[in-house]
Amino acid sequence: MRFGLVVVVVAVGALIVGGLVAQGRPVGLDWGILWTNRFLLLQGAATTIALAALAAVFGTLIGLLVALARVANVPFLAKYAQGYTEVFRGSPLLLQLFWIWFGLPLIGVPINGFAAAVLGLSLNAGAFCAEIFRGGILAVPRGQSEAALATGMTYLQTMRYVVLPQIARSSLPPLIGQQISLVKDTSLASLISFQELMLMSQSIIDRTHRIFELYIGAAAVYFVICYPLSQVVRTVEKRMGRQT
Amino acid sequence: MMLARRAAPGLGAGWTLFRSIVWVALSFLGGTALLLLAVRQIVIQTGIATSGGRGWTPHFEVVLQNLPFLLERLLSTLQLAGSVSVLAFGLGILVALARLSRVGLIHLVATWYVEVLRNTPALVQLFLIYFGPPTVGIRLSVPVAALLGLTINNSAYMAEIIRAGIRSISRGQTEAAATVGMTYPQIMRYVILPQALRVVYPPMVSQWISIVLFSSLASVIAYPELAEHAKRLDSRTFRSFEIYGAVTVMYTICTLTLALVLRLIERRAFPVAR
Repeated sequence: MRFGLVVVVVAVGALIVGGLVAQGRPVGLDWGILWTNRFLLLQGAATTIALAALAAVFGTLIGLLVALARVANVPFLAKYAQGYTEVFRGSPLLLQLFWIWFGLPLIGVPINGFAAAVLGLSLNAGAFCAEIFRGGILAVPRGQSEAALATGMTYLQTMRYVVLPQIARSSLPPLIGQQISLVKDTSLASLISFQELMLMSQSIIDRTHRIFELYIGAAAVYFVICYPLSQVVRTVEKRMGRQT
Repeated sequence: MMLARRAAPGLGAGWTLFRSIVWVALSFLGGTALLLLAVRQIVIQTGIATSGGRGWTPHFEVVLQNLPFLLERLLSTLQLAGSVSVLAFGLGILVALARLSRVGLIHLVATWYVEVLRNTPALVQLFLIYFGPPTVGIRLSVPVAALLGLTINNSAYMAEIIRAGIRSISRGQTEAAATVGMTYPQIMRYVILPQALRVVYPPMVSQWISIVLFSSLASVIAYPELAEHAKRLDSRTFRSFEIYGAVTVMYTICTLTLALVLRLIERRAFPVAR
Protein backbone atom coordinates (compact mmCIF):
# COMPACT_ATOMS: atom_id res chain seq x y z
CA MET A 1 0.00 0.00 0.00
CA ARG A 2 2.68 2.47 1.08
CA PHE A 3 4.84 1.32 -1.78
CA GLY A 4 1.97 1.73 -4.23
CA LEU A 5 1.51 5.32 -3.10
CA VAL A 6 5.21 6.00 -3.65
CA VAL A 7 4.98 4.61 -7.18
CA VAL A 8 1.89 6.66 -8.00
CA VAL A 9 3.54 9.82 -6.67
CA VAL A 10 6.71 9.08 -8.66
CA ALA A 11 4.68 8.41 -11.82
CA VAL A 12 2.70 11.63 -11.47
CA GLY A 13 5.92 13.49 -10.69
CA ALA A 14 7.57 12.01 -13.78
CA LEU A 15 4.62 13.13 -15.90
CA ILE A 16 4.88 16.68 -14.54
CA VAL A 17 8.68 16.91 -14.81
CA GLY A 18 8.56 15.33 -18.27
CA GLY A 19 5.93 17.82 -19.27
CA LEU A 20 8.03 20.74 -18.07
CA VAL A 21 11.16 19.43 -19.76
CA ALA A 22 9.47 18.62 -23.06
CA GLN A 23 7.46 21.83 -23.20
CA GLY A 24 7.65 23.35 -26.64
CA ARG A 25 9.85 20.75 -28.24
CA PRO A 26 8.49 19.19 -31.41
CA VAL A 27 10.14 15.77 -31.08
CA GLY A 28 9.66 12.99 -28.59
CA LEU A 29 6.89 12.66 -26.10
CA ASP A 30 5.20 15.90 -25.15
CA TRP A 31 3.61 15.38 -21.77
CA GLY A 32 2.76 19.06 -21.68
CA ILE A 33 -0.21 18.23 -23.89
CA LEU A 34 -1.86 16.69 -20.84
CA TRP A 35 -1.36 19.92 -18.92
CA THR A 36 -2.66 22.16 -21.68
CA ASN A 37 -5.78 20.01 -21.95
CA ARG A 38 -6.11 19.48 -18.22
CA PHE A 39 -9.59 20.96 -17.96
CA LEU A 40 -10.98 18.80 -20.74
CA LEU A 41 -9.36 15.71 -19.22
CA LEU A 42 -10.64 16.56 -15.75
CA GLN A 43 -14.09 17.08 -17.20
CA GLY A 44 -13.85 13.68 -18.85
CA ALA A 45 -12.65 12.11 -15.62
CA ALA A 46 -15.51 13.70 -13.70
CA THR A 47 -18.02 12.37 -16.24
CA THR A 48 -16.47 8.91 -15.99
CA ILE A 49 -16.68 8.98 -12.19
CA ALA A 50 -20.29 10.19 -12.28
CA LEU A 51 -21.23 7.50 -14.79
CA ALA A 52 -19.48 4.79 -12.79
CA ALA A 53 -21.03 5.98 -9.52
CA LEU A 54 -24.57 6.04 -10.93
CA ALA A 55 -24.17 2.65 -12.58
CA ALA A 56 -22.65 1.27 -9.37
CA VAL A 57 -25.63 2.39 -7.30
CA PHE A 58 -28.22 1.16 -9.81
CA GLY A 59 -26.26 -2.02 -10.53
CA THR A 60 -26.01 -2.93 -6.86
CA LEU A 61 -29.71 -2.24 -6.33
CA ILE A 62 -30.68 -4.29 -9.38
CA GLY A 63 -28.34 -7.03 -8.24
CA LEU A 64 -29.88 -7.13 -4.78
CA LEU A 65 -33.44 -7.23 -6.13
CA VAL A 66 -32.59 -9.88 -8.71
CA ALA A 67 -30.81 -12.02 -6.11
CA LEU A 68 -33.84 -11.77 -3.81
CA ALA A 69 -36.11 -12.67 -6.71
CA ARG A 70 -33.95 -15.68 -7.51
CA VAL A 71 -34.03 -17.19 -4.04
CA ALA A 72 -37.69 -16.30 -3.45
CA ASN A 73 -40.21 -19.08 -3.77
CA VAL A 74 -42.04 -17.54 -6.72
CA PRO A 75 -41.38 -19.84 -9.70
CA PHE A 76 -41.85 -17.53 -12.67
CA LEU A 77 -40.07 -14.60 -11.04
CA ALA A 78 -37.07 -16.74 -10.15
CA LYS A 79 -36.81 -18.04 -13.71
CA TYR A 80 -37.08 -14.58 -15.19
CA ALA A 81 -34.40 -13.27 -12.84
CA GLN A 82 -32.15 -16.20 -13.71
CA GLY A 83 -32.67 -15.55 -17.42
CA TYR A 84 -31.65 -11.94 -16.87
CA THR A 85 -28.40 -12.88 -15.16
CA GLU A 86 -27.56 -15.54 -17.76
CA VAL A 87 -28.12 -13.20 -20.70
CA PHE A 88 -26.35 -10.17 -19.27
CA ARG A 89 -23.39 -12.16 -17.96
CA GLY A 90 -23.20 -14.29 -21.08
CA SER A 91 -23.01 -11.58 -23.72
CA PRO A 92 -20.51 -8.77 -24.24
CA LEU A 93 -21.23 -5.39 -22.67
CA LEU A 94 -20.32 -3.83 -26.01
CA LEU A 95 -23.31 -5.45 -27.72
CA GLN A 96 -25.64 -4.71 -24.82
CA LEU A 97 -24.72 -1.04 -25.13
CA PHE A 98 -25.15 -1.11 -28.91
CA TRP A 99 -28.48 -2.84 -28.56
CA ILE A 100 -29.73 -0.17 -26.17
CA TRP A 101 -28.18 2.81 -27.98
CA PHE A 102 -29.02 1.88 -31.57
CA GLY A 103 -31.95 -0.46 -31.00
CA LEU A 104 -34.26 1.34 -28.57
CA PRO A 105 -34.70 4.54 -30.64
CA LEU A 106 -35.63 2.37 -33.62
CA ILE A 107 -38.61 0.87 -31.82
CA GLY A 108 -39.64 4.32 -30.61
CA VAL A 109 -38.04 4.64 -27.16
CA PRO A 110 -36.21 7.98 -27.04
CA ILE A 111 -32.85 7.73 -25.25
CA ASN A 112 -29.75 9.90 -25.01
CA GLY A 113 -26.11 8.88 -24.68
CA PHE A 114 -25.97 9.33 -20.93
CA ALA A 115 -29.16 7.38 -20.28
CA ALA A 116 -28.07 4.61 -22.64
CA ALA A 117 -24.67 4.35 -20.95
CA VAL A 118 -26.14 4.33 -17.44
CA LEU A 119 -28.83 1.82 -18.43
CA GLY A 120 -26.41 -0.55 -20.20
CA LEU A 121 -23.75 -0.42 -17.51
CA SER A 122 -26.30 -0.79 -14.69
CA LEU A 123 -27.98 -3.78 -16.29
CA ASN A 124 -24.63 -5.41 -16.95
CA ALA A 125 -23.29 -4.71 -13.46
CA GLY A 126 -26.63 -5.76 -11.97
CA ALA A 127 -26.26 -9.28 -13.37
CA PHE A 128 -22.80 -9.67 -11.85
CA CYS A 129 -23.87 -8.17 -8.51
CA ALA A 130 -26.87 -10.51 -8.45
CA GLU A 131 -24.55 -13.52 -8.64
CA ILE A 132 -22.41 -12.11 -5.81
CA PHE A 133 -25.44 -11.56 -3.58
CA ARG A 134 -26.98 -14.90 -4.49
CA GLY A 135 -23.75 -16.71 -3.66
CA GLY A 136 -23.73 -15.00 -0.27
CA ILE A 137 -27.40 -15.74 0.43
CA LEU A 138 -26.97 -19.41 -0.47
CA ALA A 139 -23.97 -19.64 1.85
CA VAL A 140 -26.14 -18.78 4.87
CA PRO A 141 -27.44 -22.08 6.28
CA ARG A 142 -31.01 -22.81 5.18
CA GLY A 143 -32.04 -23.60 8.74
CA GLN A 144 -31.77 -19.94 9.66
CA SER A 145 -34.27 -18.65 7.12
CA GLU A 146 -36.56 -21.59 7.86
CA ALA A 147 -36.40 -20.78 11.57
CA ALA A 148 -37.09 -17.11 10.86
CA LEU A 149 -40.06 -17.99 8.65
CA ALA A 150 -41.32 -20.35 11.32
CA THR A 151 -41.36 -17.54 13.88
CA GLY A 152 -43.79 -15.73 11.61
CA MET A 153 -41.44 -13.34 9.84
CA THR A 154 -42.27 -12.59 6.23
CA TYR A 155 -39.85 -13.38 3.42
CA LEU A 156 -38.68 -9.78 3.21
CA GLN A 157 -38.26 -9.54 6.98
CA THR A 158 -36.24 -12.76 6.98
CA MET A 159 -33.96 -11.36 4.33
CA ARG A 160 -33.70 -7.92 5.90
CA TYR A 161 -33.04 -8.94 9.51
CA VAL A 162 -31.55 -12.44 9.31
CA VAL A 163 -29.84 -13.23 6.02
CA LEU A 164 -28.60 -9.97 4.49
CA PRO A 165 -26.80 -8.63 7.60
CA GLN A 166 -24.70 -11.79 7.61
CA ILE A 167 -23.64 -11.57 3.96
CA ALA A 168 -22.94 -7.83 4.01
CA ARG A 169 -19.36 -8.36 5.18
CA SER A 170 -18.43 -11.36 3.08
CA SER A 171 -19.79 -9.96 -0.17
CA LEU A 172 -18.03 -6.64 0.28
CA PRO A 173 -14.71 -7.58 -1.43
CA PRO A 174 -16.32 -9.07 -4.58
CA LEU A 175 -18.73 -6.13 -4.72
CA ILE A 176 -15.89 -3.61 -4.67
CA GLY A 177 -14.11 -5.75 -7.25
CA GLN A 178 -17.22 -5.48 -9.40
CA GLN A 179 -17.17 -1.68 -9.08
CA ILE A 180 -13.53 -1.71 -10.27
CA SER A 181 -14.55 -3.54 -13.43
CA LEU A 182 -17.41 -1.10 -13.76
CA VAL A 183 -15.04 1.89 -13.74
CA LYS A 184 -13.02 0.21 -16.47
CA ASP A 185 -16.17 -0.74 -18.38
CA THR A 186 -17.31 2.89 -18.54
CA SER A 187 -14.63 3.30 -21.22
CA LEU A 188 -16.97 1.34 -23.53
CA ALA A 189 -19.47 4.19 -23.30
CA SER A 190 -17.12 6.08 -25.62
CA LEU A 191 -18.15 3.63 -28.36
CA ILE A 192 -21.75 4.81 -28.16
CA SER A 193 -20.45 8.40 -28.45
CA PHE A 194 -20.91 9.36 -24.82
CA GLN A 195 -18.30 11.99 -23.99
CA GLU A 196 -16.47 10.45 -21.04
CA LEU A 197 -12.74 10.28 -20.38
CA MET A 198 -11.96 7.91 -23.24
CA LEU A 199 -13.85 9.81 -25.92
CA MET A 200 -12.51 13.09 -24.54
CA SER A 201 -8.95 11.77 -24.94
CA GLN A 202 -9.78 10.61 -28.44
CA SER A 203 -11.13 13.99 -29.45
CA ILE A 204 -7.96 15.63 -28.11
CA ILE A 205 -5.96 13.07 -30.09
CA ASP A 206 -7.89 13.92 -33.23
CA ARG A 207 -6.79 17.51 -32.74
CA THR A 208 -3.18 16.99 -31.60
CA HIS A 209 -2.16 13.49 -32.79
CA ARG A 210 -0.48 12.87 -29.43
CA ILE A 211 -1.57 9.23 -29.19
CA PHE A 212 0.86 7.88 -26.59
CA GLU A 213 0.60 10.82 -24.25
CA LEU A 214 -3.18 10.97 -24.17
CA TYR A 215 -3.91 7.26 -23.96
CA ILE A 216 -1.28 6.85 -21.25
CA GLY A 217 -2.73 9.88 -19.49
CA ALA A 218 -6.24 8.41 -19.70
CA ALA A 219 -4.93 5.06 -18.47
CA ALA A 220 -3.26 6.88 -15.56
CA VAL A 221 -6.58 8.47 -14.58
CA TYR A 222 -8.33 5.10 -14.64
CA PHE A 223 -5.44 3.67 -12.64
CA VAL A 224 -5.70 6.40 -10.02
CA ILE A 225 -9.40 5.58 -9.60
CA CYS A 226 -9.11 1.78 -9.66
CA TYR A 227 -5.85 1.12 -7.83
CA PRO A 228 -6.97 2.43 -4.42
CA LEU A 229 -10.16 0.39 -4.75
CA SER A 230 -8.19 -2.76 -5.51
CA GLN A 231 -6.02 -2.08 -2.46
CA VAL A 232 -9.17 -1.78 -0.36
CA VAL A 233 -10.29 -5.19 -1.63
CA ARG A 234 -6.91 -6.65 -0.74
CA THR A 235 -6.92 -5.14 2.74
CA VAL A 236 -10.47 -6.25 3.52
CA GLU A 237 -9.75 -9.76 2.26
CA LYS A 238 -6.57 -9.99 4.29
CA ARG A 239 -8.38 -8.81 7.43
CA MET A 240 -11.16 -11.35 6.89
CA GLY A 241 -8.67 -14.12 6.27
CA ARG A 242 -6.99 -13.34 9.58
CA GLN A 243 -10.25 -13.57 11.48
CA THR A 244 -11.29 -16.97 10.21
CA MET B 1 -21.12 -47.34 1.01
CA MET B 2 -24.05 -45.14 0.21
CA LEU B 3 -21.79 -42.17 -0.27
CA ALA B 4 -19.36 -43.94 -2.54
CA ARG B 5 -22.04 -45.13 -4.96
CA ARG B 6 -22.79 -41.99 -6.85
CA ALA B 7 -23.61 -42.14 -10.51
CA ALA B 8 -20.69 -41.10 -12.68
CA PRO B 9 -21.46 -37.63 -13.99
CA GLY B 10 -22.03 -37.96 -17.70
CA LEU B 11 -23.49 -35.83 -20.42
CA GLY B 12 -27.00 -36.47 -19.10
CA ALA B 13 -26.90 -34.22 -16.05
CA GLY B 14 -25.00 -31.50 -17.89
CA TRP B 15 -27.39 -31.58 -20.82
CA THR B 16 -30.43 -31.22 -18.56
CA LEU B 17 -28.77 -28.26 -16.88
CA PHE B 18 -27.91 -26.70 -20.21
CA ARG B 19 -31.42 -27.17 -21.53
CA SER B 20 -32.92 -25.60 -18.44
CA ILE B 21 -30.54 -22.63 -18.73
CA VAL B 22 -31.33 -22.12 -22.42
CA TRP B 23 -35.02 -22.36 -21.59
CA VAL B 24 -34.55 -19.78 -18.86
CA ALA B 25 -32.66 -17.44 -21.19
CA LEU B 26 -35.33 -17.76 -23.88
CA SER B 27 -38.16 -17.11 -21.43
CA PHE B 28 -36.26 -14.04 -20.21
CA LEU B 29 -36.02 -12.78 -23.78
CA GLY B 30 -39.71 -13.47 -24.33
CA GLY B 31 -40.61 -11.59 -21.16
CA THR B 32 -38.32 -8.73 -22.11
CA ALA B 33 -39.88 -8.54 -25.56
CA LEU B 34 -43.31 -8.19 -23.96
CA LEU B 35 -41.92 -5.56 -21.60
CA LEU B 36 -40.42 -3.64 -24.51
CA LEU B 37 -43.68 -3.80 -26.44
CA ALA B 38 -45.42 -2.33 -23.40
CA VAL B 39 -42.81 0.45 -23.15
CA ARG B 40 -43.20 1.06 -26.87
CA GLN B 41 -46.97 1.38 -26.54
CA ILE B 42 -46.53 3.80 -23.64
CA VAL B 43 -44.06 6.05 -25.48
CA ILE B 44 -46.27 6.04 -28.56
CA GLN B 45 -49.42 6.82 -26.56
CA THR B 46 -47.71 9.65 -24.67
CA GLY B 47 -46.33 11.02 -27.91
CA ILE B 48 -42.67 11.06 -26.89
CA ALA B 49 -41.75 8.25 -29.28
CA THR B 50 -38.93 8.88 -31.76
CA SER B 51 -40.21 9.81 -35.19
CA GLY B 52 -38.93 6.64 -36.81
CA GLY B 53 -40.19 4.42 -34.02
CA ARG B 54 -43.91 4.73 -34.70
CA GLY B 55 -43.82 2.84 -37.95
CA TRP B 56 -41.42 0.14 -36.79
CA THR B 57 -42.24 -3.50 -37.40
CA PRO B 58 -39.97 -6.40 -36.49
CA HIS B 59 -37.93 -7.74 -39.38
CA PHE B 60 -35.84 -10.71 -38.29
CA GLU B 61 -35.36 -11.90 -41.88
CA VAL B 62 -32.20 -9.77 -41.98
CA VAL B 63 -30.72 -11.95 -39.27
CA LEU B 64 -31.93 -15.20 -40.84
CA GLN B 65 -30.58 -14.31 -44.26
CA ASN B 66 -27.19 -13.48 -42.79
CA LEU B 67 -27.08 -16.37 -40.35
CA PRO B 68 -24.39 -18.33 -42.29
CA PHE B 69 -22.09 -15.28 -42.24
CA LEU B 70 -22.83 -14.60 -38.60
CA LEU B 71 -22.01 -18.21 -37.70
CA GLU B 72 -18.80 -17.94 -39.68
CA ARG B 73 -17.87 -14.86 -37.68
CA LEU B 74 -18.81 -16.62 -34.46
CA LEU B 75 -16.18 -19.18 -35.38
CA SER B 76 -13.73 -16.36 -35.94
CA THR B 77 -14.59 -14.98 -32.49
CA LEU B 78 -13.96 -18.39 -30.95
CA GLN B 79 -10.67 -18.69 -32.82
CA LEU B 80 -9.52 -15.34 -31.51
CA ALA B 81 -10.68 -16.15 -27.97
CA GLY B 82 -9.05 -19.57 -28.12
CA SER B 83 -5.70 -18.20 -29.25
CA VAL B 84 -5.84 -15.46 -26.63
CA SER B 85 -6.69 -18.00 -23.92
CA VAL B 86 -3.73 -20.23 -24.76
CA LEU B 87 -1.25 -17.37 -25.14
CA ALA B 88 -2.49 -15.55 -22.05
CA PHE B 89 -2.30 -18.77 -20.04
CA GLY B 90 1.33 -19.27 -21.05
CA LEU B 91 2.27 -15.68 -20.38
CA GLY B 92 0.25 -15.78 -17.17
CA ILE B 93 2.29 -18.71 -15.81
CA LEU B 94 5.52 -16.81 -16.47
CA VAL B 95 4.18 -13.65 -14.82
CA ALA B 96 2.85 -15.62 -11.84
CA LEU B 97 6.24 -17.31 -11.34
CA ALA B 98 7.91 -13.91 -11.66
CA ARG B 99 5.56 -12.50 -9.03
CA LEU B 100 6.49 -15.31 -6.66
CA SER B 101 10.18 -14.78 -7.36
CA ARG B 102 12.46 -13.92 -4.47
CA VAL B 103 14.54 -11.64 -6.70
CA GLY B 104 13.33 -8.17 -5.79
CA LEU B 105 13.49 -6.58 -9.21
CA ILE B 106 11.66 -9.42 -11.03
CA HIS B 107 8.99 -9.49 -8.35
CA LEU B 108 8.59 -5.72 -8.58
CA VAL B 109 8.30 -5.61 -12.37
CA ALA B 110 5.81 -8.49 -12.45
CA THR B 111 3.72 -6.99 -9.66
CA TRP B 112 3.42 -3.66 -11.44
CA TYR B 113 2.78 -5.37 -14.76
CA VAL B 114 -0.23 -7.04 -13.16
CA GLU B 115 -1.41 -3.99 -11.23
CA VAL B 116 -1.25 -1.61 -14.18
CA LEU B 117 -2.97 -4.00 -16.58
CA ARG B 118 -5.69 -4.93 -14.12
CA ASN B 119 -6.48 -1.36 -13.14
CA THR B 120 -6.78 0.19 -16.59
CA PRO B 121 -9.46 -0.53 -19.21
CA ALA B 122 -8.73 -3.13 -21.88
CA LEU B 123 -9.99 -0.64 -24.46
CA VAL B 124 -7.22 1.85 -23.63
CA GLN B 125 -4.61 -0.91 -23.80
CA LEU B 126 -5.92 -2.07 -27.15
CA PHE B 127 -5.93 1.45 -28.58
CA LEU B 128 -2.41 2.07 -27.27
CA ILE B 129 -1.12 -1.09 -28.91
CA TYR B 130 -2.90 -0.52 -32.20
CA PHE B 131 -2.58 3.25 -32.65
CA GLY B 132 0.58 3.87 -30.62
CA PRO B 133 3.36 2.06 -32.53
CA PRO B 134 2.67 3.68 -35.95
CA THR B 135 3.68 7.05 -34.48
CA VAL B 136 7.19 5.70 -33.98
CA GLY B 137 7.21 3.88 -37.31
CA ILE B 138 6.14 0.37 -36.30
CA ARG B 139 2.94 -0.88 -37.94
CA LEU B 140 1.08 -3.77 -36.40
CA SER B 141 -1.53 -5.51 -38.50
CA VAL B 142 -5.05 -5.70 -37.07
CA PRO B 143 -4.91 -9.41 -36.10
CA VAL B 144 -1.50 -9.01 -34.45
CA ALA B 145 -2.64 -5.95 -32.50
CA ALA B 146 -5.89 -7.61 -31.43
CA LEU B 147 -4.11 -10.79 -30.37
CA LEU B 148 -1.34 -8.89 -28.60
CA GLY B 149 -3.65 -6.46 -26.83
CA LEU B 150 -6.09 -9.08 -25.56
CA THR B 151 -3.29 -11.48 -24.61
CA ILE B 152 -1.37 -8.90 -22.61
CA ASN B 153 -4.55 -7.74 -20.89
CA ASN B 154 -5.66 -11.24 -19.95
CA SER B 155 -2.23 -12.48 -18.95
CA ALA B 156 -2.45 -10.22 -15.89
CA TYR B 157 -5.74 -11.80 -14.80
CA MET B 158 -4.42 -15.29 -15.58
CA ALA B 159 -1.28 -14.56 -13.56
CA GLU B 160 -3.36 -13.63 -10.52
CA ILE B 161 -5.44 -16.78 -10.79
CA ILE B 162 -2.36 -18.99 -11.18
CA ARG B 163 -0.52 -17.24 -8.37
CA ALA B 164 -3.44 -17.81 -6.01
CA GLY B 165 -3.42 -21.47 -7.09
CA ILE B 166 0.30 -21.89 -6.47
CA ARG B 167 0.06 -20.20 -3.09
CA SER B 168 -2.78 -22.49 -2.07
CA ILE B 169 -0.34 -25.44 -2.15
CA SER B 170 1.25 -25.59 1.27
CA ARG B 171 4.90 -24.60 1.63
CA GLY B 172 5.72 -27.92 3.23
CA GLN B 173 5.38 -29.64 -0.13
CA THR B 174 7.89 -27.35 -1.80
CA GLU B 175 10.27 -27.89 1.08
CA ALA B 176 9.76 -31.65 1.05
CA ALA B 177 10.38 -31.76 -2.70
CA ALA B 178 13.49 -29.64 -2.24
CA THR B 179 14.76 -32.02 0.44
CA VAL B 180 14.55 -35.01 -1.89
CA GLY B 181 16.80 -33.08 -4.26
CA MET B 182 14.37 -31.71 -6.84
CA THR B 183 15.36 -28.50 -8.57
CA TYR B 184 13.05 -25.49 -8.69
CA PRO B 185 11.75 -26.22 -12.23
CA GLN B 186 11.17 -29.85 -11.24
CA ILE B 187 9.28 -28.86 -8.11
CA MET B 188 7.07 -26.55 -10.16
CA ARG B 189 6.58 -29.05 -12.95
CA TYR B 190 5.91 -32.22 -10.94
CA VAL B 191 4.65 -31.07 -7.54
CA ILE B 192 3.08 -27.63 -7.56
CA LEU B 193 1.58 -27.04 -11.01
CA PRO B 194 -0.40 -30.32 -11.29
CA GLN B 195 -2.10 -29.56 -7.98
CA ALA B 196 -2.43 -25.87 -8.66
CA LEU B 197 -4.17 -26.58 -11.98
CA ARG B 198 -7.00 -28.32 -10.14
CA VAL B 199 -7.45 -25.31 -7.87
CA VAL B 200 -7.26 -22.74 -10.65
CA TYR B 201 -9.52 -24.54 -13.12
CA PRO B 202 -12.89 -23.07 -11.98
CA PRO B 203 -11.73 -19.42 -11.92
CA MET B 204 -9.89 -20.10 -15.16
CA VAL B 205 -13.15 -21.19 -16.80
CA SER B 206 -14.82 -17.90 -15.92
CA GLN B 207 -11.76 -16.08 -17.23
CA TRP B 208 -11.96 -17.97 -20.53
CA ILE B 209 -15.60 -17.05 -20.85
CA SER B 210 -14.84 -13.43 -20.16
CA ILE B 211 -12.15 -13.66 -22.86
CA VAL B 212 -14.87 -14.65 -25.32
CA LEU B 213 -16.89 -11.64 -24.20
CA PHE B 214 -13.91 -9.29 -24.27
CA SER B 215 -12.83 -10.48 -27.71
CA SER B 216 -15.74 -8.38 -28.97
CA LEU B 217 -13.52 -5.37 -28.18
CA ALA B 218 -11.37 -6.37 -31.14
CA SER B 219 -14.22 -5.08 -33.30
CA VAL B 220 -13.23 -1.50 -32.44
CA ILE B 221 -9.97 -1.94 -34.34
CA ALA B 222 -11.93 -3.66 -37.14
CA TYR B 223 -10.85 -7.23 -36.41
CA PRO B 224 -13.26 -9.39 -38.42
CA GLU B 225 -15.27 -11.16 -35.72
CA LEU B 226 -18.90 -11.44 -34.70
CA ALA B 227 -19.44 -7.99 -33.16
CA GLU B 228 -17.72 -6.33 -36.10
CA HIS B 229 -19.99 -8.15 -38.53
CA ALA B 230 -23.02 -7.10 -36.51
CA LYS B 231 -21.89 -3.49 -36.79
CA ARG B 232 -21.36 -3.82 -40.53
CA LEU B 233 -24.73 -5.48 -41.01
CA ASP B 234 -26.37 -2.75 -38.95
CA SER B 235 -24.82 0.05 -40.99
CA ARG B 236 -26.06 -1.63 -44.15
CA THR B 237 -29.62 -2.47 -43.12
CA PHE B 238 -30.40 -0.17 -40.14
CA ARG B 239 -32.06 -3.08 -38.39
CA SER B 240 -30.11 -2.39 -35.17
CA PHE B 241 -32.72 -3.70 -32.78
CA GLU B 242 -33.02 -7.09 -34.44
CA ILE B 243 -29.35 -7.52 -35.30
CA TYR B 244 -27.82 -6.57 -31.96
CA GLY B 245 -30.54 -8.50 -30.14
CA ALA B 246 -29.88 -11.63 -32.17
CA VAL B 247 -26.09 -11.33 -31.87
CA THR B 248 -26.39 -10.84 -28.10
CA VAL B 249 -28.38 -14.07 -27.98
CA MET B 250 -25.77 -15.80 -30.15
CA TYR B 251 -23.03 -14.79 -27.72
CA THR B 252 -25.15 -15.94 -24.78
CA ILE B 253 -25.82 -19.38 -26.22
CA CYS B 254 -22.18 -19.68 -27.20
CA THR B 255 -20.82 -18.83 -23.74
CA LEU B 256 -23.40 -21.02 -21.99
CA THR B 257 -22.40 -23.95 -24.20
CA LEU B 258 -18.75 -23.23 -23.53
CA ALA B 259 -19.40 -23.15 -19.79
CA LEU B 260 -21.17 -26.50 -20.03
CA VAL B 261 -18.38 -28.14 -22.03
CA LEU B 262 -15.69 -26.80 -19.72
CA ARG B 263 -17.60 -28.03 -16.67
CA LEU B 264 -17.87 -31.50 -18.20
CA ILE B 265 -14.13 -31.44 -18.88
CA GLU B 266 -13.55 -30.45 -15.28
CA ARG B 267 -15.50 -33.48 -14.05
CA ARG B 268 -13.47 -35.75 -16.31
CA ALA B 269 -10.06 -34.25 -15.72
CA PHE B 270 -10.30 -33.51 -12.01
CA PRO B 271 -12.65 -36.07 -10.46
CA VAL B 272 -13.61 -35.10 -6.93
CA ALA B 273 -11.21 -36.85 -4.55
CA ARG B 274 -13.07 -39.02 -2.08
